Amino acid sequence: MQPRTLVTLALLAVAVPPATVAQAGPVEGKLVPPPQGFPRPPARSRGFLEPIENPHLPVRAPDPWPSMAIVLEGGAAVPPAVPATQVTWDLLGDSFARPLIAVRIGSELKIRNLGRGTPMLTAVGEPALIAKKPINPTGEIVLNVGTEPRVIEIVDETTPHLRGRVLVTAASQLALPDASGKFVFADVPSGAWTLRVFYATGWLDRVDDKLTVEARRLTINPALPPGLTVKAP
Amino acid sequence: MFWSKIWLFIVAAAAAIAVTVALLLPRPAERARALEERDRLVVACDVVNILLRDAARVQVEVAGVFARTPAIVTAVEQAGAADAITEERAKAARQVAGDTISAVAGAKPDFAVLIDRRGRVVTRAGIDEDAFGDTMAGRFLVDDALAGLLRDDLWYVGGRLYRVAASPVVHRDAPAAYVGAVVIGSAISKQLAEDVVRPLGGKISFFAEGRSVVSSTAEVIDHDLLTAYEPLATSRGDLEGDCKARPPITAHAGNLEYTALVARLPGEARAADAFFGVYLERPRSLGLMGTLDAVRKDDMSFAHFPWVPVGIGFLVALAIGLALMIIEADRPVRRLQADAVALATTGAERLPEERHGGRYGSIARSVNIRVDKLAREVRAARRNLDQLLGPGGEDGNLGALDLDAPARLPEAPPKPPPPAEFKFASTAPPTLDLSGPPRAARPTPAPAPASSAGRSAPRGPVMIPPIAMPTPPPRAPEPVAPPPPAALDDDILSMSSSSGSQDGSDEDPYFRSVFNEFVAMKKHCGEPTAGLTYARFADKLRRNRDDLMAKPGCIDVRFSVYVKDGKAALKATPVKDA
Repeated sequence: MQPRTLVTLALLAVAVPPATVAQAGPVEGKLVPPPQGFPRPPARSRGFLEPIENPHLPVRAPDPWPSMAIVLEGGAAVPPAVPATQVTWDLLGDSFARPLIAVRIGSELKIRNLGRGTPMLTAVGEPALIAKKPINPTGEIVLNVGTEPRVIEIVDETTPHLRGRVLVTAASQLALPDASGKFVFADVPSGAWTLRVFYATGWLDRVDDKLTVEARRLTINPALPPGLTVKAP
Repeated sequence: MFWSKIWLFIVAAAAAIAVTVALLLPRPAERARALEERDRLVVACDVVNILLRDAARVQVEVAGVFARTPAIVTAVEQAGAADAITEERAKAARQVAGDTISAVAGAKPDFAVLIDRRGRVVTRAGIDEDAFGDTMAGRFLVDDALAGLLRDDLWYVGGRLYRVAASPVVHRDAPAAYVGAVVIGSAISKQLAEDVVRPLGGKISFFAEGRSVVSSTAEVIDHDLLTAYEPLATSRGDLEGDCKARPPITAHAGNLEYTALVARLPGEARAADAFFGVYLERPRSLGLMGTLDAVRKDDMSFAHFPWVPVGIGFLVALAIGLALMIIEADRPVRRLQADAVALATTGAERLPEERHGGRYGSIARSVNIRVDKLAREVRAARRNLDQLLGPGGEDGNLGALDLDAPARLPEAPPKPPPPAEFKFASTAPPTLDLSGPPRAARPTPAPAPASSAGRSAPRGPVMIPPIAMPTPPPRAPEPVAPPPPAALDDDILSMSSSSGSQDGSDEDPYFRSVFNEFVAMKKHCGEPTAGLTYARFADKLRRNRDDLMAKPGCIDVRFSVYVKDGKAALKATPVKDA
């Protein structure tokens, strides 16, 4: 068990009543890519020439993991009054550290500008969510995502390429896959849960996994659908 | 003037047709020129796209060369393996990049950026060289290069447009792997703009975010080009069809006119509404005046312009016009003028109407009508005068001839005098007493007895018995003198001696005796006698006598002096032939 997991469990053991700790268990797994591999997304831009594939290696599809989030919904007992948390989302320059971030409803989102530019971020469809002013290098902004589950798209008004999405969910169990597709829910209360995978703009069009969490480790490897198709909103 | 007018109409119509042709002729040429301009512009627009595409191809090749440079591959690969990009690593990589830029033959890129496999900037060369470690992943070009694609793009950064190209950096030794990317770029400069349009003979301007970024010329036609771009901004059509999608527009810069086309630019700069406008200066030779301005000296030479036929045509038209003017206007006027002068100076009584036709004949007829009217008035005046001296009244005499009474003209038109009714005072011819001197004027005699038989002397004014004077020999009727003026008194008192003999060389004794008696009577009545001359008196008597003797049956005339209304008067009595 990794040290990080141990620390998490220790904290939960202190925070959660003894009756809850006895019924919680980790859920981990790895997203299984589709057999055909990841599709190449459509070209977002084109210059005077058609793109040329290099002769040395096959062109690779972009890594989809940073654009995914796994959510466990349901459960026999949802902790009441889940405390609001603050999630930090770093802006590294011409892109966010992760193009997708998942937060619970009522949370605060802090965006830190670690790049050289001065983007002017805005939430598509929610202009009042972010103060309309540029973020200087090393500056940051904090915004409250609200209590409504939804997807917030944040773009830079000065560039066409800088954009990210925020998955606001009521679910208490959120996980982000790493570079290999692995994910971990450190402490999932016992009960029946539904595992869903969010990708880029929506929930993946797949049969959600039903699992029953008990007071022991549970491993699940959700299969991703071919083409990574998402459900219609 | 009929043919003159017809000729004038013909010349005017020919002139109007010539002007119409002159105004219309440039229009087909203008249309052809406009079409040619449009084609030139479309070609120019396509050529600009081709040149930019060629430049992009060269840039992609250069980026590929960069990416294959071993030193760059090493620098990028090592940076990707580190947790952070250090300044030393950046500096070393910058040196490599700078050397690689210098080694490029031909058009060198303005900058180069080395990016590791995580999308972090390892180093920059040529621009912002102090900046490194930031993430350029996320830009479309960089993401595609990191994925293994070589391509070009257009960026709008810091108010400037950059042509950029990127290539993946591949570690080709086994195991081959993508280790990063290289991005090179060149700013779209004025020099590039001029180089692009020089072979086209036009001008070009690049725009982004609603303003001009760079232009090959100083003329400013931004407003017109931005207006022309508006429909293109929302177009979903292919960018390569922009040059043919819309007709050229007319743009103005000061007093110059341009024909322009706009086309969108590709790449990320599309988000900044980047486009270019290519335009050609409209030649000034369009339209009639412009065509005239374009005429050269050799166009007017005999080899290119039919001077001789034009000159001959002009002279012929002029000669015809002059000839018609002379025939229809000058000659008739001169003829009428000559006849009018002849009427005024010679003895012609009227204008010869038959020599003048048309309106001139009408003028001659009008003049003649007036001349005739004047002649009638003169004759009427003469007859009126005769009427005053005409035959006598009811007593058989011709009536008193009151030489001193004012003239009284009849108001009615002159009529020939009525035939005289002769009533003689005595059937016996008067006796002429030649024994004694002429008797002086006698006082008013007593009234004659009323019962005188055979005598038909009228009772009336007091009269002196006729003077017994020898009967003058019958005279041949003298030619009728011109009618006297209307006022008799005025005539006798003021008449010149032209009508009579003033020197007395042809003095008639009888007239002289009547004159003496008349003068004596006037003195007797207390009337003035100044101005009363014998010559006029005799002339008057002579004419009156002639008029009376012109009547049939009258062989002589006797004059008698009497008093009428206290004034001396003279009566003429014809002597009838027995």
